[in-house]
Parts: sequence; structure tokens; C-alpha cells
Amino acid sequence: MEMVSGSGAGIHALCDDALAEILVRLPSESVLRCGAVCKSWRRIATAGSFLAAHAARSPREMITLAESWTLSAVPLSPGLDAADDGARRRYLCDPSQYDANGDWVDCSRVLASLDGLLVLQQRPGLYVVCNPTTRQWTNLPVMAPRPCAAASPCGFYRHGPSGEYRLLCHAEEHREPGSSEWKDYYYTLSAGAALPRRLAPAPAGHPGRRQIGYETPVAHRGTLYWLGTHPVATRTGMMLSFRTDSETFRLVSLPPAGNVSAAALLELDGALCCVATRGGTPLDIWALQDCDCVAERWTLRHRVVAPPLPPRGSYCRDFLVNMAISAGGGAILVGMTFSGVIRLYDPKDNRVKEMELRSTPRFLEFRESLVSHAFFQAPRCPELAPIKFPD
Amino acid sequence: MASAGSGDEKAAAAAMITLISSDNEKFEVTEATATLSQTIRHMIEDGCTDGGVPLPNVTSKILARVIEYCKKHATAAAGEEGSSSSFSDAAFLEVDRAFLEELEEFDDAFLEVDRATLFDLILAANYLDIKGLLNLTCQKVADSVKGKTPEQIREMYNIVNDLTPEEEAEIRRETQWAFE
Repeated sequence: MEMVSGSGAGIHALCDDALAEILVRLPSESVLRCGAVCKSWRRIATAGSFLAAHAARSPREMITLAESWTLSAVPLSPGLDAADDGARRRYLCDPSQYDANGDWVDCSRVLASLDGLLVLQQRPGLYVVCNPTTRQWTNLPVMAPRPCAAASPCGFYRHGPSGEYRLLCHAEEHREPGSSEWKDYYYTLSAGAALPRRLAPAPAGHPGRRQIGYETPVAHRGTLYWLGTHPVATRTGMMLSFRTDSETFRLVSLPPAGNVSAAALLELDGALCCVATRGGTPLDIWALQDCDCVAERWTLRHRVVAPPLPPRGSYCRDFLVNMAISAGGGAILVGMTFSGVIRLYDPKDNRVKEMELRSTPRFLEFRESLVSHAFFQAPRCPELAPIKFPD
Repeated sequence: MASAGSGDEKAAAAAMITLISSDNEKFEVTEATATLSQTIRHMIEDGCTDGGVPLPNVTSKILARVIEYCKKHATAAAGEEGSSSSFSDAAFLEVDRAFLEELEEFDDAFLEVDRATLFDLILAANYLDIKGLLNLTCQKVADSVKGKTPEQIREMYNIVNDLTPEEEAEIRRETQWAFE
């Protein structure tokens, strides 16, 4: 299959567009190497439009957490198999924190994955944005202990009007210095900014609880959605949404799926969907009709009724669902936080496959990107622990 | 497949397009074949194909190969459309699979060309905007570059390194790990 070197006309004959068409089909590491071949290849391989096109072609992967607390990615496809979590799992980075002796101290929690960027929490109030493909990382504006006493991350998004990447946080402040009374605010932390920006008053958290739990939201058409576990939802029986361009909140009705703690949101075939199962195999898929109108409506799109699965061994409790992600081709991957046991539902054929991965799936989509960001050039916070990458 | 082809011949004959290479050679092709090229599709839509379509960037040697590719893949596209309505029919699926395998074999054989021809095909596919052909040919070159060091790539394609030592040092410092 090796090409024969024929007549004189070489690769030089190609126009920039044609050369870009070749380079865009290479894996990230090869693109970086091609940028060191010559001046014209460098110009093409580092152009912003080229890097965006390259990122758009990256295959979808899912973030998983290995036993050693390292972050990896496995290919996300309707044919996903437990065997993929070995042969095809890629090691991305090690967000563990070590002391001066090199002993393990703590693990940074992965909060979000967007456009090839990961957001990690080194401690409450100190967040890191990292591109494992270019191996760049820096901190977001520090939230706690100053200016806020406590902070909880809510969701990571790209603010369309400014193009900035921002982390939404729910923070608590002392009403006045030395006071034991608290006030709650939403803040946004823009990558590259020096300070967090106060956005709006936030509903009070649970009394006496400093950490307010926001689940990882699902993004759909520029809006973030949280299904359940946040202060507003527990009080109103609605779900919370946040428009990322206007940075405004709105309550949305819950899907009539029964217990929302056994359900999960996901984006599926261009619609916001909610999947729910009541322990058994049937999986209900609800879709939200027209999210923009005032009275949105949930409709039952599909009920996957598959033949019962063989009885489980040691983990024979009910199968619970609070995480879901589209695996492509209409298939849905569902599971539970910190469980390696997942199910792949295929609504087309009413099929379900249960498998146990060796690493813990985080149900976050990851797509490699070499797109460069100026915020990585800013000086880092001195207390930031370094992130390790593959040797 | 054969019976469907003969039935369509009358309709196809009415819609023939003449493509004219840079060395003034004329090629008669069906509209279905020609419209695999988005560039030509737009020209047909704009009604400017009377008297032939001059393609000053494509030689007759390359145009003949491009047409060979388009003919094969136009038949494939027609086959897909025909079978989608009877998707559940196992016999049709069997035919589909056999045809896809045949198409893969065709593509593999099509790529058995020297480098200069391959680059000419890329340029033609880019100019004529033929997605499948562009993907096929570019992937072939990309596969030859994948995993290679900059030195190996330069050697393979006779590329002169015109980066200054400072630029090279800077690139390596930024992404040292990609070069190890």
C-alpha cells in the first residue's frame, strides 16, 4: 500500500485548503508535529479556523475515573462494550494533589467537560480549567475563602456574546464581617478574569449546610438544566434552567416521570430528554416540547421494553439511574454516580445491554480540541497544585 | 441493479452533461454522476452548463479518474435510495452489504496511484467539491503522516525546513511531549 514516488509534482503543489483537508484528518498529536514541519504547514496547523474544524471532527468520548483517580476517556458509541474500557481507554491527566514528599493528599473532582476543556475542583472555591490535549491548565478566579466564605459550583458554559468560558457558582457570604448570618449569591467565574463577578441573589441553601449540591447540568441550545438536587427544586417542585447568553434563571416544569431522584436529563437527537426507570428494565424517555415557550410540555417519546436481563450476582439490588448520556445512533447510556455498572439502551430495537466498566463512568462528553485560549497565558494562582499528564 | 439501470436510461439520456478538461478533452456524463460534485451541481442549478462545463484546473488524465470514481459512487447512492424503503427486507440488506464491500474494494484499488496523481486528485476533489473523493484521498495522505516526526515527514515529501532555529525551539518548548 506504500505510495510510489512518481513524477516531480509533490505535496508543494497542494493549495492551503487541500493541505488543511489532509491535516484536519490527523489525531491531535500528529497535528502538533505537523506544525513543526515548515512555515506554511505551521501557518495552516495553527490557524484558529483550522483548529476549530479539527475539534469539530473529534470523536465523542466519555470521561471515566480510573481506580488510581486518573481521568481517562473511552469512545462513546452505540457499540460501546466493556472491553473498550481497556484497549481503547485513553489516559488524559492525573488531577491528584501530592504533598512535598510526593504522597497522595487529595483528588481534584472533575466538574465539567466542554469544548475539550475540563473543570476541576482542587478545593471548594478553587477551580482549575485544563485542556488535556494541549496540556495547558490554569485557575479560574478564586472564590473562597475570599471574597466568599463558601462556594458550590453549578455549571460551566461558554458565554456567547463575549466568547468567554465561565463557571457559575452558588456562594455564601457573611452578611457583614464577623456576622454569623449568611447571604446567598450566584457568581460567574470567567476564565482569564482576575476576580469573580456577582451575578444575582441566590436562594438560601439548607440551613447549617455549607455545601450546596448542584448536580452536573445538561446543556441544550445554550441553556443549562438541573433536574433536582438544588435548593430551588426541593422547594418548588420545578427544575432550574439558566440561559447562558443572558445569564438569567427560569424554572421549568418537571417531567411527570415519578421520582426525579431516579431519573436523569440528557440531550438526545436535538431535544432535551429525561430518562427514568423504576428499578426494572423498562426505560421511559420523556422529551421536552419547545423549551422557549412559556408553558413547556413533556411528552413520553418512547418506552424501551426489553427482555429481562439475567439476574445479577453480588450487586443484585435494583438498577438505579441518575446519570445518562447519548451514545449516538439513538442509543442511551444510563447509570448511577460512582457505579461502574451501566446499561446501554437501544430504543430502535428495544434492546438493553448491561456491562461493568473497569473505570467509573462520569457521563461527561469529551471531545479533543487544540483550539488555543489566551486565558492559559495568565499567571496561575500560587497555591495551585500541578496537574500531571501522561509520560 | 442491472434491471433498474436499463429502466432509467431514457431519463438519464435526457440529462447528459459535458465536462471539458484543461487540455480540451470532452467527457459526456450523466447528471447523476456529475452532481456528486457540488461545484457542478450549483452550475446546473444556475443553468450555466449549456455548451459544456469547462474545468480549467483539471487535466483529462485526472478528470477521467474523477469520473470513474463518480460513476461508481453515483450508482451506489442510487442503490441506497432504492433499498431504504424496504429496509427490513433481509435480501435487500444482503445486497447492500455486498455492494458496500464492492465499493470498498473499488476505493482501495482506486487509491493505487503514484503520489503526484494522488495530489492531483486531491486538488480536483477540492476544486470540484466532491466530499467522498476528498475524504478518501486526504485520508490516504493523512495515514502516511500519522505518527511520523517532523523530520520523517520532511524527508518523505521533500519539504525544506524554512523555520528558524528560534521558531523551532519555541514550538518544541510549547509542546515538548508531542515530539517524544
